[in-house]
Amino acid sequence: MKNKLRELRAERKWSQAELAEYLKVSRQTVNAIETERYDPSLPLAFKIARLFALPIEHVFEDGE
Amino acid sequence: MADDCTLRSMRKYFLECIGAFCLYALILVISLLWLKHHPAAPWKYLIATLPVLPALLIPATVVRYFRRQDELWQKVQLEGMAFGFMAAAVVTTTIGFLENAGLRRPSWLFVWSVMAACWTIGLFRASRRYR
Repeated sequence: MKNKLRELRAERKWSQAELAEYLKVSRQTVNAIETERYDPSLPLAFKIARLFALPIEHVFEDGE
Repeated sequence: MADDCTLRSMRKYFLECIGAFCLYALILVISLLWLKHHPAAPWKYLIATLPVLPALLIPATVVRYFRRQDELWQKVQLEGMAFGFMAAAVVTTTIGFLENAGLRRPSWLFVWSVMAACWTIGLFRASRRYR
């Protein structure tokens, strides 16, 4: 699944560690989502969308 | 996965594990000493199995550690355990086949080391996938 997490994080000038802290996950999880090696669970995806105040489909797209 | 949160969680896990092992070792020593001095006591089987009680703290510690992890690390752990479980099954079954050819049966403690080694390999493989 494609996502814009890296761009969104860069816009806010947050480090991966800071974003991980806000989301209460490990930095590795943020990195794995950004590099699209890992698709987050639905609750985490909603949490990310809420953090950036965007609809979930603006952060994640399934490529279809 | 070596950020502060993960390191704190691992430290807590190791401390809990060490505590559980120390308690286990203490009860084991007491149990063995008691059995040595009372070899014909009617409740010797009960005393011999007493170390099982502190040993139960170890799986509880592992489960607590698992629940403290975030979702990616839980997935990594699950993949590591799945690999470890099946790889240990293959290794022990292979030893079973070798026994048919005359290999002396290893100690039951051997299974523990096989499980631990396979779990570690599984964890390493799984964590590399998401690095």
